[in-house]
Amino acid sequence: MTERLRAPAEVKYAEELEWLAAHDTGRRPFSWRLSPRMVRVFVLGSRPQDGLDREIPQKWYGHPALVEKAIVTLASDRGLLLIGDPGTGKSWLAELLAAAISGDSTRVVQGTAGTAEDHIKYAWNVAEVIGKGQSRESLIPSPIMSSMQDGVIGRFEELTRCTSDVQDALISILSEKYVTIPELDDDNVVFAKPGFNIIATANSRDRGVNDLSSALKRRFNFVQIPVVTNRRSEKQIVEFRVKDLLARNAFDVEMPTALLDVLLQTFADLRVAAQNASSDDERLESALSTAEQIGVVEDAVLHGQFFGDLALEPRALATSLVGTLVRRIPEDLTVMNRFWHAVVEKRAKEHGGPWEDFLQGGKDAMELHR
Amino acid sequence: MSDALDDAVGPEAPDPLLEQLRAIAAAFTEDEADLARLFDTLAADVDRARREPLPIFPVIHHSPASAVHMVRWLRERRPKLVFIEMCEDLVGLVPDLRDCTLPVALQAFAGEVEGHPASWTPLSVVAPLTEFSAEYQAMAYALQDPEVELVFVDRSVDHVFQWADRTSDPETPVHDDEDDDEEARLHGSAVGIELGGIEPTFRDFHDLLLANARMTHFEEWTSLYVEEPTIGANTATYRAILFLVGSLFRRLGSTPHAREEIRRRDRLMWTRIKGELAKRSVPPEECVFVCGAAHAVEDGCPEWGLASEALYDPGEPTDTRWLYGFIPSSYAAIELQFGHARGAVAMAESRWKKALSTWNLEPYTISRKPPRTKPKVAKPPMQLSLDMVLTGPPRLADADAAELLGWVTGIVQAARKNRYLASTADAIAIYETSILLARMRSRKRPSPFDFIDAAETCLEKGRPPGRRSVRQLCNRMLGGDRVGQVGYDSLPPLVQDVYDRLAPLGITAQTRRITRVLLDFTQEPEKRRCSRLLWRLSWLTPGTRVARPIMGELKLGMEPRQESWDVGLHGAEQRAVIQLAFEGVTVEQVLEKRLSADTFGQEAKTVTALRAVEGSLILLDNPRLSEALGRRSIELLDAEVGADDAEEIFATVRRLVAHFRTTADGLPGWLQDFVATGYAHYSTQLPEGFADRGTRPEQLAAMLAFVFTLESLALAMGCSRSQLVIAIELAGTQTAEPEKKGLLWAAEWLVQLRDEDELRRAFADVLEHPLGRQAYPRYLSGLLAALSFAPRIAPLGVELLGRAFAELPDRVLLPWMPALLTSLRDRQGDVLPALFKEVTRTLPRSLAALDTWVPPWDQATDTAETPSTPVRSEAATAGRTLVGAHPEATDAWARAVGAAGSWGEVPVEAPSETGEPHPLLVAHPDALQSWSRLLGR
Repeated sequence: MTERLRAPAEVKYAEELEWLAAHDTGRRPFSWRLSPRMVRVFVLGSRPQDGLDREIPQKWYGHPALVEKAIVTLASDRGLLLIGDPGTGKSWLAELLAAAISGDSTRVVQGTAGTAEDHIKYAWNVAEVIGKGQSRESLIPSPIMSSMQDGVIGRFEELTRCTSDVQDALISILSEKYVTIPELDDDNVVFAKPGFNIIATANSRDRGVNDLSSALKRRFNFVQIPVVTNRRSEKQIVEFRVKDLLARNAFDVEMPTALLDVLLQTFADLRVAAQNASSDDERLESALSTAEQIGVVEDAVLHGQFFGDLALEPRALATSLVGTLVRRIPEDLTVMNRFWHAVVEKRAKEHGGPWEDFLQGGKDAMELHR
Repeated sequence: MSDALDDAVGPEAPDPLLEQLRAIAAAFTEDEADLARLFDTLAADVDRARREPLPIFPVIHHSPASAVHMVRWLRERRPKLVFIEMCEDLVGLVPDLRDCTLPVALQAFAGEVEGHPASWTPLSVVAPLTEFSAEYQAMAYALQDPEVELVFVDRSVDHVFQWADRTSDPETPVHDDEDDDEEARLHGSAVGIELGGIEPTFRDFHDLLLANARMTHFEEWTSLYVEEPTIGANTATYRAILFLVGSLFRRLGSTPHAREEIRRRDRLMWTRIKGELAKRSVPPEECVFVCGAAHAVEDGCPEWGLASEALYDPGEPTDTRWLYGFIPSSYAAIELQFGHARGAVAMAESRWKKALSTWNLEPYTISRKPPRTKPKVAKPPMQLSLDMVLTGPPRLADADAAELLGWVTGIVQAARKNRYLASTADAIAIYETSILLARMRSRKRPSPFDFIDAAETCLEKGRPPGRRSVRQLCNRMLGGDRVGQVGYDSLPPLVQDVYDRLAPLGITAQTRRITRVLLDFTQEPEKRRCSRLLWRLSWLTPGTRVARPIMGELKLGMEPRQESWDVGLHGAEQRAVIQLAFEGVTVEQVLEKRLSADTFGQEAKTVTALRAVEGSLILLDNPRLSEALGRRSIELLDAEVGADDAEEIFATVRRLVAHFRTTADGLPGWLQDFVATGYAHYSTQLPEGFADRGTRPEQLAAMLAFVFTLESLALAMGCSRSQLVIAIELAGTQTAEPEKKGLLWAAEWLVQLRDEDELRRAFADVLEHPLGRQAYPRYLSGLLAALSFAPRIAPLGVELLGRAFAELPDRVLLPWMPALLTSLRDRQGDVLPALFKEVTRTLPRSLAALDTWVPPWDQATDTAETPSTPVRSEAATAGRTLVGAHPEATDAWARAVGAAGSWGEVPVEAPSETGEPHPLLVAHPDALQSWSRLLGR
């Protein structure tokens, strides 16, 4: 296998998926590789009552009902739209679902302000068209169209970043389940094979920028992915992702539990502060999601590996936290300064231990910003 | 039939169960001994509970299965003595349930505590009842038959608090934003008492249970694993299952703390049961003990069971005086109180109704209606053995199959009405998704919660378009909330009195909506009494919808002619009025108490006392009370330091003085004394107020306003002005803040320590000082604040304002303008009228006049230097020239009106000094041109 910076889920968990498919006795809808229950097991991990001989680790952390809703939607006639704040794991869930259901999570269209209908349906290979004329050979199918042809899950990231007319190209794909190619005289319809469906994601912070039309809304089931605020789940997610990161970089370092608690507590306190703030200037611009926490740890680990003494230090963690969350200067810095002296300082006095270095690290980092 | 119930030693005696459990232990665990030991304990618990000579009837909170089996048991066994796990002192309320519409809650309330932490005050306990509570069925049964006795055996409400953890507050419902319905808050901050609460307190066990069952809510678990299998089974099987569940949850699912609490209550309950049985000659087998499933387990409790002779002494209750009554409850309030999933109680109700019709059961009710003459013949339950229930899926009733279709069509309709884009295609999608979800969660058919999840997935697209989300619509459809009503006879005297007095408005204890009342006192003067009561209720229950004035206001001395009210005395509003009954026997008494508490309490301040005085004058006809409150306000004022409430005190006293001056008796003695005390008090406080940086200029203005506005009255009462003069002189040495200085100069001018020219000069010095100019607006703000008590200073104020606008540089003037405008807007009651009056007098009336307008203060200086020539506008000059040149028209007019006179020399003036015509004439020359044409020029 060629070396990859980041392997897609179906490659990373190929062995697990194969094992699950071999032991899956449930009914599989359409051309799904796994039954809905096994998809659930793959995403949420196995439990004793699943009666499996091996343990399947949990890969996405959140309320199981959300995953169940997502899976049954994909088995139905409608597309799935995952909505949530940045960093809540929408894309990761979409990738896992596509990998489990179709064995291929790479049929992705990335929605941007510049996405055109061609990116959703098809484009033409100009050289081929000039040489041989318009034909199926000179057609370049989009990832969505190719997933229709193969009866697999297509993914559409950040759907609401596209303009409304581009979004609406999905309407016919989702209702008629075919795409016509009017440029061709014959063989001009591409029909979707059973098993095709779309998982789209949308950022709830972009709400109102390019709202979905009512017609398109009808063709999607919406599943809201909330920000994880449960301490236990959050801890699991951060541990899981940090372990993954360390393994990927072959770093030999451990994340001390006490330090993880410091990070989680700080984020929990920051969320409370943001909730109680009366104006946007009094809260940090950055979303206080789990993904941000992972980013903070990642930065701290990398810094420790390359510039520090390899271990993960409270000071480095605080520096990374301040660096990650302070985006606007002076607004964010003011908020952080107030927070640090009011809350973190208090915690450091109460609990001591890693909190003290963490406190100092944050202060030093803010000094630098100033 | 009674054979089916006779399960003391039935066909499924414990041994088969035990064997089954042991087989499970062997099959599923490597270390079978531990699990087997646990299973032995569970089986022994079930066995012990079933063999207990006093029949134990285990129940789950608001469980229809429990209620159905309770009805069956009572109809078959007809026990003579019913013991219920409920606070012993609440039993006296039961007969009064006859008048109530369920759900209602039995309530115990203590406004003052003795022996409990003072921070817990007031103490309130509620025990909500629904028709499908097993305990309600037992109470109804006991009430129907005079030979049956009902005994509550649990700890008294006082012990609920005695046994609570003193280091933290009692557990009360947490209201979050999601619970937007008022109905959900019906219980207020009361501590809830539930019979048969079995939700595991050990969090890990709880989570594991739900994760294994792929469920989100515990109610879903009990519904699927306890309710559905047992509701159709025979009572013997029901009891065995409940004993098993109770044992499992108590031994594995409870924290040590919770176990200890249950144990303590068990000890007390069995002690009381033994005592009650000893008093009566009823054999134990003719009794029944209705308790939560967890209490059916002997878990280290020496008093458990009639075989034991041990007794427990719970200790004496504290001296706290408890009052008892009912409050209306609601399903939402019950869910919130006990942390159930939203909609769970409503779903229980629909299961209860379904079970009643399936088994043709007639429930017991406590109502005044005569019982049905031809009783229903109940269908026998299914003969399901314990083994069948534990190993097979639940048997569905016919009604279950069609249920999902009904839900699906129902929610689509409801969604459409609530502005969702919902179509038949959505109905199909919801149906399909519900079934897929149920399959994925290993269920035979979708539970209501699966259905709600499916409906939410298919219909909810971002934000709800209407007021309600899909989840809320589902909850409404699956039963909806019910709000109870406490009947007239069960109400405390105060509330009965309120209903009696509002009867002329058509409001009775049966009214269950907000009533709009229009009162026209010119037509129906007798309704003034209702209006008075409504104002009192409105004052006593702020923030509720008990009595909301739509039109009309209540002010001192005002006699309204018409009023319009929204009156609500049901649900949450009824509860608010019932709460008043814990404070007194009539609304007026409660009002008096509250007013007195505001005035004589430890937290009382002068301003609260004055508010109370005003309230008593407006709301009560009780001069003695008003006098007492007024006297107290003087004491409070005397003892008060600082000027925190000076503004409100002044405003209130001014209102009171104005009011009493219009009455025949004039000012009451206390008010005269208050003014005299206030005059001396504020005079004394002035220097300190001016020196104190924490005292705002507005507060100082209010103090000065008090002193100057009420001065004549105070002097008549023997006060001396010299006190004030000394204070103002002293204050002059104390302050350096510009606002306060401006204010002080005004006060000095009033007491003639400074004349107007001096005052003008002081301001001019500030304005001319290159470094002081910056602060000029602040000095001026202080002076303007004085307008509230010295309107005579308005001309000077306008002059100084004018100078500020003319002379202040933009960098000072512009930042000040918004502050000036907002501060004037805030003072539109006192400062602005005087200022406006003066401004309109001073400024020219038309825009045209503005160009040639010279401010009077500048004019005054000009007169000394220039001869007095009338200043005319250019238009006036042009007109004058024209009339002077052609006097004929004017002469003719003068003759016609009989005026005699001659023309003086009319100089032909140039239109303007510059020779330029007036801009207005340039813009609109038509009139002049046509006049000229007419004159032939």
